[in-house]
Amino acid sequence: MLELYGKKFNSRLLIGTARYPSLAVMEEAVKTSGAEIVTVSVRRENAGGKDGDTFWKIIRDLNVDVLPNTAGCYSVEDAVSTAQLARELFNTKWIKLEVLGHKATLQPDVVGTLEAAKILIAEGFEVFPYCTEDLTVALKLAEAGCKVIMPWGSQIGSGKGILHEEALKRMRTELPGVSLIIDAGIGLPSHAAKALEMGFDAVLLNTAVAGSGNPVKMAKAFSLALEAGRAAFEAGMMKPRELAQPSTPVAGTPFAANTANARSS
Amino acid sequence: MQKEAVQQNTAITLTVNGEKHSVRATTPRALLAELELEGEFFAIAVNRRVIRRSEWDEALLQNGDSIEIVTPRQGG
Repeated sequence: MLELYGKKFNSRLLIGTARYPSLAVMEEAVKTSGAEIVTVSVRRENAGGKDGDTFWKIIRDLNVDVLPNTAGCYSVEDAVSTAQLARELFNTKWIKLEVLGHKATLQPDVVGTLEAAKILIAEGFEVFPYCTEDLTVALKLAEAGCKVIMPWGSQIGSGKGILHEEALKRMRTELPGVSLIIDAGIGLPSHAAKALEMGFDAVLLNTAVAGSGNPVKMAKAFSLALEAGRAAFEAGMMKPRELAQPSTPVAGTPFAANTANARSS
Repeated sequence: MQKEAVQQNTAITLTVNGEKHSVRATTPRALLAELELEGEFFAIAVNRRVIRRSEWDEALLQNGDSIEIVTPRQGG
């Protein structure tokens, strides 16, 4: 089972709630995905508006755990303040910490992320930091007290999948006690399956489902892929070989020359 | 006394969600009513300090305060 800050989950998918064609499609896609955790954000309410209420009532009825994010924050101060508002709003210690460093790539500011993580952990938060494949940053986040770390597969919303496989495999090896989630860049179920085959604990995605041709169908596809990927990891891969090895036994192949006779003649 | 704390005669200027507002409200709850924010699910920060829901009737807003009023939204 997936374990995040002491809480256990059957599903290894954390799914975003943004960018669906409608709230109804979002609701159906989340249900179909089997995800038990959804990500949400904290945004200003417009005067007279009730948008937050409409959205929140749907999420609440889904009966899932909520992981609020600090999306869009480019400073430690903004991320910390947003996390504090999220804790009040959603009544949870969980926070998906994003401190961004670059607008075009939405690459995390890993220095700011580490600083904000330390502040939030001291305030009692359970931090899910979004970071890159950089091993030393991940080690420092773990040292700071992060029990979950979320390196990117590739850029947010790019759908390019896992670009830094070797570095991420190394991170997996070096941090056996930390729950590692591939967050961002997942575009296809095969990317998600691969992440779990590599030993990652879970996958966090949004646009791959919400932006697909049929979000509900794609949600199902991800659910199946994650099940497959995890089962494969648990089973353990065969030993890879440099050259071919016949899978069908050679002995008794019809019409083959009798090697024993050939040798004696 | 309580009423006077909630509604005062002279308006104060607050920055609410990045925009300047001239209001009479002096508590977060009165501010929500004055801005006609009808939802149930809000979190409020005054000058970046979160004001717990239980303090919405007591916390006093002052001229020049910067207020954030936020709700749950879609996120990735």
